[in-house]
Amino acid sequence: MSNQKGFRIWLARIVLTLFAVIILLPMVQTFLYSFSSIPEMQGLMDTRGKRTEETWMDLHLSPHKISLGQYEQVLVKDEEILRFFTNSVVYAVAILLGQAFVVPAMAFGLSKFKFRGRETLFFMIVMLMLLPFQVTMVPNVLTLRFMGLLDTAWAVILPMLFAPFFIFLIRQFMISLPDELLEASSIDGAGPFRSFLWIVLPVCRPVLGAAAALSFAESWNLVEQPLTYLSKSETLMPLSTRFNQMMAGNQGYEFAGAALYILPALLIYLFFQEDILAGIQLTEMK
Amino acid sequence: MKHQIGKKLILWLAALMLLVTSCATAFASPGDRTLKHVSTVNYDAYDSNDLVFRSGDGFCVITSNDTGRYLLKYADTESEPEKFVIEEYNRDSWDEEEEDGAAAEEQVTGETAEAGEPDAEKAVDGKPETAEPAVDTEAESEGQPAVEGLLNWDDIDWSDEALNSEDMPEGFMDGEMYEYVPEPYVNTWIGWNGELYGIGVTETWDDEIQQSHVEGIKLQRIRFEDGKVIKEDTEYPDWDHEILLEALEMDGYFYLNDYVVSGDLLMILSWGMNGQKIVTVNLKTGSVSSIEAGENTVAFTAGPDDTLILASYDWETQKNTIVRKSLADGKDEVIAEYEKGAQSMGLGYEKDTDTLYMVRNGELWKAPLADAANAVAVNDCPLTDCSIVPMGDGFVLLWNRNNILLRNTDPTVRGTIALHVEDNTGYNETMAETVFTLSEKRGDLSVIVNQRYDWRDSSTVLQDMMNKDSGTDIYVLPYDGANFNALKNRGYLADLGDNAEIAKYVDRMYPYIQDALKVDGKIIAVPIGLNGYTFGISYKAWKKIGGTEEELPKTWDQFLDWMEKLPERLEGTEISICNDTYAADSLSGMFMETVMHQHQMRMESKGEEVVFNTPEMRKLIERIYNMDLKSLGMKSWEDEDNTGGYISYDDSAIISSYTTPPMGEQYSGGGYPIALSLAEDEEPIVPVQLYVACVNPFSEHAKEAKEFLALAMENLQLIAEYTFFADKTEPLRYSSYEEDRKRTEKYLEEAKKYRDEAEEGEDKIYAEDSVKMWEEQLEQMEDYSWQMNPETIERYQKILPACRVLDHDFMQEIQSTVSEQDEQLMKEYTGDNMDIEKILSFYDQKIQMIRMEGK
Amino acid sequence: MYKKFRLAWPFLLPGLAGLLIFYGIPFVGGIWYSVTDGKVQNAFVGLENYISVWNNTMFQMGLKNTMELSLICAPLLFLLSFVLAAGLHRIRPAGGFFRSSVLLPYLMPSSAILLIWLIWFDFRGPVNRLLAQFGAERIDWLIGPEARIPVILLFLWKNLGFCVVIFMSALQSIPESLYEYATLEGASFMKQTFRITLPLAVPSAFLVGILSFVNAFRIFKEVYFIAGAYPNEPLLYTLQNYMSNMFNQLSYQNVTTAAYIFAVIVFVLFGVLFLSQRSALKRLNGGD
Repeated sequence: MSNQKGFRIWLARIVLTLFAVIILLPMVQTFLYSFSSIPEMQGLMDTRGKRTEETWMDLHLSPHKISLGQYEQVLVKDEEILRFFTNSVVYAVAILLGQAFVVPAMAFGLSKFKFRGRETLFFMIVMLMLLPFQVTMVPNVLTLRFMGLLDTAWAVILPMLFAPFFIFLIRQFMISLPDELLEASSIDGAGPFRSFLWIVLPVCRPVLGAAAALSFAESWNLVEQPLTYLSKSETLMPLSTRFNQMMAGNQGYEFAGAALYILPALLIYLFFQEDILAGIQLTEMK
Repeated sequence: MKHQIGKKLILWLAALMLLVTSCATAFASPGDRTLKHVSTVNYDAYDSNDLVFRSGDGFCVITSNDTGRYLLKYADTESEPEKFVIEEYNRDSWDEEEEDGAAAEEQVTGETAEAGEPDAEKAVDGKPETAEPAVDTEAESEGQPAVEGLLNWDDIDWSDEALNSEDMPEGFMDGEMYEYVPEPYVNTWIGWNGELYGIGVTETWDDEIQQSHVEGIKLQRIRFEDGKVIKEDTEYPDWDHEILLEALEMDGYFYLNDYVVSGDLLMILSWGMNGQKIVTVNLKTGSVSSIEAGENTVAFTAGPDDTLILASYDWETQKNTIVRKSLADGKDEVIAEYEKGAQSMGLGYEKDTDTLYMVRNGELWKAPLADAANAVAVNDCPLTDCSIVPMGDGFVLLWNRNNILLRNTDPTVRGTIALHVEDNTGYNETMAETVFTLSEKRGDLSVIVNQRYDWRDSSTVLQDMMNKDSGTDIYVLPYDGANFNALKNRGYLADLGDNAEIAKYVDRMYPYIQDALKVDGKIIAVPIGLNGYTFGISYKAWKKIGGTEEELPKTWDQFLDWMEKLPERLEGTEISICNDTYAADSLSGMFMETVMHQHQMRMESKGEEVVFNTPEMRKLIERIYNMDLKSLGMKSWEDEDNTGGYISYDDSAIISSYTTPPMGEQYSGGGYPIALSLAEDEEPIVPVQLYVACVNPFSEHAKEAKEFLALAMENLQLIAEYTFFADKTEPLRYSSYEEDRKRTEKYLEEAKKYRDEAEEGEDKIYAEDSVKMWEEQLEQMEDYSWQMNPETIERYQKILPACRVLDHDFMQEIQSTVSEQDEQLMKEYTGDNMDIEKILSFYDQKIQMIRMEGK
Repeated sequence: MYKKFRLAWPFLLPGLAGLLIFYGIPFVGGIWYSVTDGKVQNAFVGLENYISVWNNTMFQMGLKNTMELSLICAPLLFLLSFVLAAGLHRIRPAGGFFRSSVLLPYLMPSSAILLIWLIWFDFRGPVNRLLAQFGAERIDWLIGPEARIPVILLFLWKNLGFCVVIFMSALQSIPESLYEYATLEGASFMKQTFRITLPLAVPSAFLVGILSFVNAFRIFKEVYFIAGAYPNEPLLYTLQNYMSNMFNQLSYQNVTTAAYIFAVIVFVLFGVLFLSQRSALKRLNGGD
């Protein structure tokens, strides 16, 4: 029995490690390729898309020769990419900050207050979460234009502040918090606001971390919103909208671009890793 | 000396038709003036600004037209100019002058202009000249239409041999040989410290290498007295002319096109073998240096402290970059970047106020140099490509070859009603021209024309429509593009029919054009220009080798048979199958495109689904694909002896690889579209591609926009006018034709008289030749002095029933929506071994999806 | 739990206002778009758009492909993640390496990863090479009907970790004593899974289910990039294609109408999931 269990654990470990390798391989490969020279990358990308039975792509896992040429192109020569990168950072940070004010409070309101229609309201938010972007896209343009925000950074930031998914996520976490927590603080004479700030939020740390990381991932990947709301001001575009164009011409520095694009998400992940795990693990549907 | 006028036929096309509107004061900003404007859509006269420079409170203009070259001195920006003659080409005084020995000072070079070269301009200054900017008649008959050469500055051959060519025969024919006097001539002027200088070039003719040779270059000061110009030597040393010519990559001649003076430096932007560079001459010392300029420089001006300010346009990213370049070390400093940049620009810098001025996207912009990124638009400007001369009082002069405008740079006094035009034609002058016409009529309206060449049809018009954006009032778009089609299908087009004038214009158009412009009784757009190229054939050349109209092919199959047999028929004649340099590379692609357009149009007109992969299309395209154009005698870029070259517009070749349907070329000769059908029992189709202007349905100035478009119908390019309007069927001569003809007839009479009186012998022979020459020239004048020649009109009338506006370009739509994988597939299918079936079914599949999606 | 509604206002107000402005009003406004003809004058046409969009061949094709892809992706993800989580949970390996890498893809911008995907699944690329090692024929992964497979794999790659984590957390909250008791009673592994693990994981399963679907609909951005606006392989034409293409033709009423039809379908699915969760919970609780 214990032998069998030992074998199972080893088997599981092997399988899991294999899984992990597969999961990580695309990222690892991206980073490795980002250090090959531009001509080498162009050569590699050029060999794609040929439908001949006889040959294989001349593929290596790592570059022939380490070169920073791609990074030089992306970071130094082409100022544009850096600017789009900065835009992306600005959007992600602004959205994150804005959400910090709106989302937890809303989730708190929906979880720790009892009022009529609360469930309906929550249900509606879940519905909104499921809506495809295109449903509200066209009318939203008119709303934004009416407010004079179209073609400004606000057009991308503001709607994202109220993203229903994160309200949902945090609300689900908060609702599982024992009421005793609040009751204890109420006895101490704390109002809902103070309880929220000093008791609820600290307890919610994991889910807040998870939400922050996921929100970052989402804002980092915005494509449709900027393309629709910023059509006239290309200087405001985030990197995510430029990525496909960057890849289109086989300029040889795609991988440095991709690496640059992945890196912040990776750092965020490493930073919030434990929170994300904990946050997601503690959230469930009730 | 009567023979001297032999080469002066130029005058029929260079007659004075000055469309100079001096002093159109009714512009949007107070103080704005149009000091000079020559129409660019259909000009047939030569009138050009060579230089505008500031002098004291006012400014000076050097300008040439076919009567001479003048200096106009404006004491200030408000007064009328004082006029000085720099050199005169006075054709009416030939008779008097021809005897007066002025010719004695001419340079005799013994060389005629090379055959096929464009016309040349006489550039000896300083005294009344007997010569005029003359088109070499040989050049006319062999190469470009003479007008083109004359009117395009860049096409003028400034080489010495061309410059002096017309002098030769007179001297010889009079039997007088002149001693060669190497005297400096001036063809470039500069304003330096408010004074005018000429760059004096001394040339000699080197008999051994049969080429002229620059002996020296030095500055000459120019003064004006009693309405005449006096040229003086200066104390400044000779320039390092050898180094200069080497830097400019000029051999045997000297001419400057793009230059600016700042401080004591003359800076020249030059195009060399290895890209653009800046060549600098120190005017005080004559020393020369040069540095590399960036790529795609579209404008430059002098900056502070021996720097240059350069503007470039990147076609890939569509961005303008303004850099400040140090002349000392060539280092660049980027001072501003603009998205959706202008493809041509104007730049100017004012030292006293450290202000950078720019003309781009239809507006004049201003900013402190250090803050160029935040430039503000201060006025509108219909010129796309111009120089800027700051006048120091808040006004600037904007000038180019055809215009001199004075503009206020105070943004607070700008006109309130501004029409914004997004013009995607890139080269069509109609919109810009209309601005000038409008400004005379409606002083309260200012118009901002943002013109760009947009082959991707990437206008943001659809986003504008979604946003209900009224920022742009008029869009000029390709009629067959996806953007215009979306507008048309969704009704996002203001009805232009409520403007009575537009309605009248449209009613005058050919029915097939009207059909395209009217939807449900509404006029949705007006045509502005023609778009797209196909091949054409020269009926004249065909006739020359004995071909008849009946023999000409009617269907594509017949056409290909006919073409394959052409080399046989051409054998022993001077006519070739096609002169274009890249015909062998490009022609089959053009055939295929035309065939596919035709097929699409015939299926649509039958109401059938468009399917390309049919046995008939496969067969036809396969045949086109397998044709060996090289063996038919066409040139390819792969040929080693292919030296690059020209597209023939004349009758020396049967097939011309470019012609704009449906009219072909308006000038003499050249190819005309041929109406072919896809099958024997079918009607031929000539696909016509249009650029149209439409009004934004959300425009707040729709009324004014329509008024503007009505005026635009008066400013169409001639070829467009004749294509669109059914009542335009009269051939059109150059305005100078009558006068030139009369003069030529008079000379012929005189030559005849001279012959009749001449004694037998040498004199008689010369006189006979002279008569013959005049007779020939009279004949040629009849043939070539057309702005719109009868054959063009006649051909058009014949193919008219076959003309149809292409309303939807599937091919382009497919191209614009393919993914990377699709592109690789297409490459595979169209590669070395084209798989016709696969590529056609590839198209079909996409087309089917597009069709099934519906509108 | 606060009972006074007025206390809730300060917390709800900013969020509600934003939701109303950027989601609620546009949602209602969108309905207006879907019942007008979408031309400049915007005439009311009733349900005409719904009828014409619903009957449009390409819409049907897009809807069918979207549903098919989602119905392959979501259950596959659901099952795989459950099996993985269940296995992991019962075995409880240290697996630190796995744990720290499993969630990573969820945060990765998939457009950047797509580059690697295009190389891997190239006709002459590593995946085909691997297949050839086993004697299989090469497959045209990016163009033919098999093009779905890389898309599905990309989807799984991205979402698997996330779902595994959710399941695992649900499983961890199940007291170990239950399993010990079951083992003592002689219940097999499978029986334990179905009788203990599954019922207690239902709420999480519901969450995973919803996320699977939501994310399955979102993957089409990448499909669109691989295959283009009019994919060579019709199976890859999704609703995303239909909506984007309509958008590019200024056909806003068709975009919104299609989006609403799709939204209704999603709502119905959500409702079904929700109800089945309720009934599953009830049944399982009752069964115990």
